[in-house]
Amino acid sequence: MEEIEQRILGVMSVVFNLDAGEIPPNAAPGNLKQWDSLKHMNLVLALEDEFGFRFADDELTDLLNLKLIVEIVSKKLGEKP
Amino acid sequence: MRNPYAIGKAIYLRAPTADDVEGNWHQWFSDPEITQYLADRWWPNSVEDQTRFFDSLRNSRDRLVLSICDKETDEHIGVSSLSAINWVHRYADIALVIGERKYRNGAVAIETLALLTDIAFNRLNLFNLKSIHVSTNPFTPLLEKIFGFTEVGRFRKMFHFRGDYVDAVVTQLDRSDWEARNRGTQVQTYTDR
Repeated sequence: MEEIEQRILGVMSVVFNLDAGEIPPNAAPGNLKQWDSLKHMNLVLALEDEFGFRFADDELTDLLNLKLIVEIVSKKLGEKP
Repeated sequence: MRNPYAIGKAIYLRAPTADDVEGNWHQWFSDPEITQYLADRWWPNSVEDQTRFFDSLRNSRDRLVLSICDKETDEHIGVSSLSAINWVHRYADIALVIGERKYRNGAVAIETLALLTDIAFNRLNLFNLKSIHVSTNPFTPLLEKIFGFTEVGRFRKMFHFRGDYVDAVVTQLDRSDWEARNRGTQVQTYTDR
């Protein structure tokens, strides 16, 4: 799962234009000022491109912070979160 | 929650009320930031205008307008719709506006569209959804791409926007594409989660 998290952080660093190290473990729209509505949309699309899948609607509505994103992506890839 | 029609995780959709009309609903459609990408909102909107619109919904069966509400606070935060519903050919236009600024974070729009498409395809048994947006709108193309809408055409230089004429982009989502992406999942429940 660490590899998945690192890949997600890589995607986020590109979308938010931040170093991966600047993204806190509890990153969410409420505490990361770069994470606005446009960036949220771009993040969803970038994650789909990175991992080669499409999120179902039920998953889309849970992509609310870094922790949840790691859990959902891991689950989709068949990894234990 | 009051009279929920569709229940999500952070929001729910319900029929609009007279309280909504007296609240912020009419102001959203005067707000230049909110209306900047809407095709036909050039006049200030008043409570009286909003009341006329609300009254027109009373017996309408070709337009479903739903208020978007925060589940936790019950605050009315936006409006969504399926309109120009054609019951023979089973298609509709889809739209949403998140009126309250603090909810314009992307996640609420995503959840609203998830609920709305589920209503369209699962509850109203529609087969196609369509939408038109101004080509300079940065947000709608991303939101629609996430949900699998595809661009099917453009009306060239159709909308006047900030001194220039820009394209009207026409997009479509058909039921089979929506089902393929959501196979085996459930977007919403008709009872409280």
